[in-house]
Formats: sequence, C-alpha cells, structure tokens
Amino acid sequence: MVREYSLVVDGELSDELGNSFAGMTLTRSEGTTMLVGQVRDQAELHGLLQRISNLGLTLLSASTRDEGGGQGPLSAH
Amino acid sequence: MAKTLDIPNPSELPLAEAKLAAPRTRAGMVERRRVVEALEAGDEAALTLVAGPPGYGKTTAVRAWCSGRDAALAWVTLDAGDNDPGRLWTYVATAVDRVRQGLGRRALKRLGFVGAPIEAPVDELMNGIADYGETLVIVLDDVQTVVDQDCLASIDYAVAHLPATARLVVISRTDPTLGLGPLRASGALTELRADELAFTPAEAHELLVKKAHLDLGAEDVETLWRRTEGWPAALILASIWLRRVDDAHGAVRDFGGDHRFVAEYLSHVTFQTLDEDVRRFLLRVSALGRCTPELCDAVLDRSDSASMLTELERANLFVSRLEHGGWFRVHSLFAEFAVSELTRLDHDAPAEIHRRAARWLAARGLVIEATEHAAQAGELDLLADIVAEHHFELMRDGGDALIRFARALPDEQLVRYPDVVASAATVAACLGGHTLEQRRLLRLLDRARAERAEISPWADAIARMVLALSVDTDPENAVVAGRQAVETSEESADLALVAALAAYSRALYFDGHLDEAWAAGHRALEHPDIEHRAPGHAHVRSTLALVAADRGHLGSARKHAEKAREILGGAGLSRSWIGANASAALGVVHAGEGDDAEAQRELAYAERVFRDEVASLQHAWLLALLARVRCRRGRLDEAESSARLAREELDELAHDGRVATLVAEVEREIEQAMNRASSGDVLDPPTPAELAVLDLLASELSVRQIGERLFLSPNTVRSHTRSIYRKLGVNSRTDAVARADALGLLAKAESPM
Repeated sequence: MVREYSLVVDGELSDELGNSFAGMTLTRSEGTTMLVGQVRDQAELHGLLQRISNLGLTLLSASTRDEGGGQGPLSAH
Repeated sequence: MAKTLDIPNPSELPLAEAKLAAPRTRAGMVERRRVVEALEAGDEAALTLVAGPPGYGKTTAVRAWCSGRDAALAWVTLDAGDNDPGRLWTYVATAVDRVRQGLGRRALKRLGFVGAPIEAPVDELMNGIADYGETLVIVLDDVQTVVDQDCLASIDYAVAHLPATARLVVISRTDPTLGLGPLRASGALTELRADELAFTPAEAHELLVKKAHLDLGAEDVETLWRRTEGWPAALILASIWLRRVDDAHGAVRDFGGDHRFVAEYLSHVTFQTLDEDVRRFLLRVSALGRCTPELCDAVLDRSDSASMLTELERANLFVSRLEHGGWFRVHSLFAEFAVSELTRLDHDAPAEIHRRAARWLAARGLVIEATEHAAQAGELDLLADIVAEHHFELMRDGGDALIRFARALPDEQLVRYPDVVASAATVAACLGGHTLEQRRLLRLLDRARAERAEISPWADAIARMVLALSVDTDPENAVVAGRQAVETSEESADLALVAALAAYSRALYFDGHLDEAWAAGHRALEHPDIEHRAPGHAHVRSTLALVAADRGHLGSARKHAEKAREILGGAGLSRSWIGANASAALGVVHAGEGDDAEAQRELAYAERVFRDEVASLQHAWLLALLARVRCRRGRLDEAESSARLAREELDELAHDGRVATLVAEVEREIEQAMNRASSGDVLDPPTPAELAVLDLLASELSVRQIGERLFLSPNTVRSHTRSIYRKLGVNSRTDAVARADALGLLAKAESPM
C-alpha cells in the first residue's frame, strides 16, 4: 500500500546525495534533513532505511501519512 | 538462448578469494588500548559482537586485536550471496582449513553431503577446531548481509558448540537476529558497540595532534570531536584533510559552524585536496567497490592502477588493501559519496564501469560478482545474458542466486530468457520454501510459450518437470505434467530426461500407481548418463525406496534410500529439497524396520525443509508420517499436533487421495493409542472448569448457550471441550458424555437422562 513517508536524519545532506534516494524530496533545516516521498511498500521503506544505515546517517524520526489522511508518527530514536 | 549443454563434470562456482582475505593491518594507527581491552575481556565469552554503523573502525579494531594476539585467524567477509547455510559454512570451513590444512576437511566433505542438516558439518568443523588445540579466532564480517533464518540459526548453533579454544567474532552494522538475549543474560556475550568504538576526546587528541602532527589548539580538537561525535572515520578523514590545507585552524572553524552531514563534508573537502588525475581515478574505482589492479586497468583503460591503489592505500586515502590475492577495497562510506559525485559529473560513467566490470568478471568465471555489477549497471540484458550463459552452474552451485536474479528481473525481461526461468524454477523447487516464486516462474514460462511459441525443449521439459515435482495440489495433474516432461525430453532434450523421469515417477507414486512409478524409476536408472545426473538420480532412488517400502520390501528400500544419500554426498548441492526427499525415504525405511528414533530424526528434518507459506501435499504427507512415528514412540501430544497440522493442510488442498487415506489412518492410530493410555482410570482428570463444561455437554445446550450459562466465551468453551475429549480419549460430544457417565464424572443432579 502506497504511503507517504517522512524520514528525518541528522546532518544536512547535499542535493547529490539526496538524489540517491530516488523519488524523495529533500528539505534541509537547522542541521537536519527531511526526506519525503511516496513509498510503494514496506520492502521499499526498508531499502531506504538500509541506505540510511549504510551511509552512517542517524535516523531521528520516521512518520507516515496514508491515503486516509491520518497521521501516524513512528518515532525512532 | 538455448544451449545444448555438454557438461561432463559439473563446473563449480569458485569461492571468491577476496572474501577469505582479512584486511591488512595498518601501521601508524592510534593505539586504542580501551578497545583492545574490551575485546580481550571477551575471552571467556562464547560470542563477541562488534556492532556499529560504517566507519566506526569495527573491522580495523578486530583486525588489530587479532594481530596483537598472534592467534590463528579464520576471516570471512560475508555478503548477500551467503544467505545459504551450505555456502556460508563452506567459506568458514575453507578459512579454517587454511589455518592448518586438514582442519576443515571433514566439514567440507559433509557440506557436500546433502541429506544431513547443517548441524553435521558445523559439528565436524568444531571437532576440527578442537583438534587444532590452540586458540583459533573465527571472524565473520558484514554479518548484516545475512538475513536467512537457517543461516542465523546455524550461527547460534555454532556459538553453542564452540570449543573452549575458539572464539567467534561477529562484525555487523546492525544487531543480527541471533539469540543475543539469552547470551547477554548469561554473560556469554561480549559486545563492542558504537559508544565504545567512538573516539574519546583524548583519543581524538592523540590522533590529530600526536599522530597527524596538526597544529591545533584544544578548542579546535574539541570542535572536531564534538562535530563528529567521535566517529572514527570522520576524525581520520579530518586528520588527513587538515594536513593538506594551509589554514588548519580556519578550516576547523568553518567546519564547526557548518551543518552539513559530517561524513559527506569531510569526504568532499579531503577529496578536493587531491590532484585531478587522482580524483578521476578514485571516483571511478569507487564504483567498483572491491577490485584488483588488473580489473581496474581493464575497466578504466589505464595501466597504472597498481601504483595508484598502492599509493592511496599508503596515504590512508579511502582505500584499503586485503591481505592476499591483490585485492583492494574502497571504504564503503566514501564509495557512497563518490558514486553520487561521479554521477553528477558524468551521468553514464557508473553504469559503464559496472558494465565493463561485469564483462571482465564474467569472462573470468566470477559469475556472482559479474552479475552483481550487471545488476548495478541496470543492465538487465547483460545480467540476463550472463545468467543465461552460466545458469547451469548457478543452478547447481549458486544456492539461491538464480532466484534472486529472477526476482531482480522484471517479468518483461525475464520472459525473454525462458532457459533462465526454467533453471530458476528448478532451483526454487529444489531448495524448497519458494512455492510462490516457483509458481510465478512457471506462469512466466507459460507466457513465454504463448508469446514466443518457441522455447527450447530443455526449458519446456524442465517446466513440466517442476510442475510434476511439486505435486503441490493435484497428483493427477502432476502425473500428466510428468508424462509430458518425459515425452518432451525423449524427443529433444535428453539432458532433462532423467530429472523428468524422476519427477514422473514421484508423481505416479503420490497418485497411487506404484507399478508405474517403479517402472519409470527404473527407466531412469537405465539411462546411459545416469551417473552424471546426480539430482535426478538421487530423486529416483528416493522414490524407488518409497515404493519398495510400501510393498514391504525393506531390504530393497534401504538400498535405494542409502544410495540416494550417497549420491547427494558427492554432488555438492546444499540444503536441498532433494536431500530432504532422501531423508524422508530413509525415515520411512527406518520406520519400517522399527527404528522409530532414527525415523523421527530423518522425517523431522524433511518436514522442516518442506514447510512453506503455502500448503502442499508432500508436506502434509511428511507430517502424517511424522505423526505416526511419534505416536509409536508414545509422544501422543506431539503426534496429535502433527496430525492436526496435516489435516489442516489437507483441508486447504481439498485433497482426497492416498495422502488423505494416510492421514485418516494415522488419526485412528493416535486415537487408539490415546484410548489405550487412558483406559480404565482417567490418568489426567478434568479440571473443575472442564467438569463444569462437561456437565453441560450432557445437555442439549449449544456451545454459545453453555458459554452464557458459565460466563465463558464460546472459544473458551471449545477449548475446554477439546481438552475434555483428549483426556477422555474421545472425539465427539456424545462419546464424551457416555464415557464421562461411565466413569462417574457427571454430577448426577444435572444429568438429563
């Protein structure tokens, strides 16, 4: 099921690096970066999370909003 | 891409030497007494876990500690292709064998021997290590790539059986799913995590000021430490970078005020201090990841890769060298940024590099590495070509590689390579546990047949053979598929004939045609090339064993079953469904001979292999056989549990043939055994709660009404009822009431007689 995910990582990422998270838009602010995009399914999500891990990035939060428009924060610290 | 394959000796996929090479120790590193001591403290522990993100110096720390102790070292760097216990332990056993030749020999022999579960070769390896007598350290690096349950379970098993002289160190970016909890609780686990691996301010000072001779004040060091949070890779990069700039202090100040992601910032600025040519080289080499100078030269059109790599390594610039084999590795963190940067500068460069690497590696028989590069190049055609060229070896030795490739290729692509699809389907069938993938592949073959109207006879025969093998839902269809497979093979795909006959024979057995199954099996045995068709040969023998056992010819059955196992021993397949079939056959033979303990062991193993997300006839069959043996051994609860699972699976399949008959027989046997166990006195008396329900069972009340009367949910009532049936040794409400009455369990006042 397609959901829009927002992933926030510590540190401001360059646009180039952001491009490697295909399909996600990058917003930098105050020492963190937010990656937002439509994620097709859980397999894709875990691929993104793995990439974050491979880069040595610190995940600050992950939250989602599905079609219904409800907001469900899943904070990961 | 049909090839007529003339393979007298199956070629084996070579082991990647690079995976067995430990990284070389570097001179001039900051001595990290603290970290070494933490690793030393693990001497009493069964398992040492070093877990942390990339760039935390995990590999370096372990390597330095190993050379400090001068202990024998068996190092394996794992990757996604090692998600198969046979392959994983083949690497480990090989590494151990290189410590001293012969230590891993028995284990390696067993690893080619498929009928036994992975515990057997691991035991042999542990024995070999114990024989060595001196301390031996086994290091598994990059364990985050291992996600297969069986692999992880085998590592747990090894930890539990490690000799006192051995240590197992697991290095991973994430905490692996091993039994860490219990190990932690009992103090048998030593951990080294990011917090311990991070540099302390003192260590940062040591690195930056003492080692790198940077002219930095305490405040600058503090800034660097704070901003990097002690991340070792970042600090080391900083030390290299700052030596190359004119105004170190100014650079640190800028860095301190910047918010950019540290690793990227530092990689970038350090990189900028290099010469243009070096930068070009480094960016391109990063796309390769792991390489030899020869590979680099070939892919990058250079002749100086050897000196470039050596120089970079010496200067600690993003490249490290492996201990032997001439392999170099680009630090993974840097590689990430480099590839982004390269793509920005020259969009097509990474793909071209991967493409060339894929071809170079494929030409040298390094198939798995070649396919990985092809996949990364997005060159699905190239990937499919390489896979198609080598699909036979991949099918035989590649573990689940073919299935992974099949998944990586979209249907549109895959459908153009029916041979690959057929091989992948065979692997899926042989490995077990991939029923859904197998069905997808068979559907693709149907589509290929429809769209192209010409798929190679080999692919066609194999497709039908796989269908026959599955016997999944419908033995009759399996028989038809088997017959078609045989016909096609006879006509124009002799290479598949033995396997086709084996599948046909098995389908016939399951459909109850013992004589025909026997005949088909023997036809296979008469094939002139039978000795070179190990999987089909072994499968035939398993089926013949079953037929013989059914007829009561146990001697003949035993011969066939043992032969099946022996064949698989020489064939180098690992953890396969065919091996499980051999186990099942042996189990049946043992059961026939009255050796129930052995029978249970073999059948239990086979049952595990056949477990899958989807119901299957063969799994139900194995559950039933297992239930029978357990019943005979007096393990009535376990027997009942297996029988119930078998019944559930059958219900899902809506099957009504001989397996159904078997299950019904076994159910009766269990019931009789339970009755015998509880005849006379009720050995396990009903609880007061159960008695309350029992009393009401004697009435006309429904389950729901009983629940209402007793203030219980219907589910609870049913649960009590099941328990009552079990204790009374009955199967129905009326029987329960009758028996309870006979035993005087009913409260007379309520009895509605």
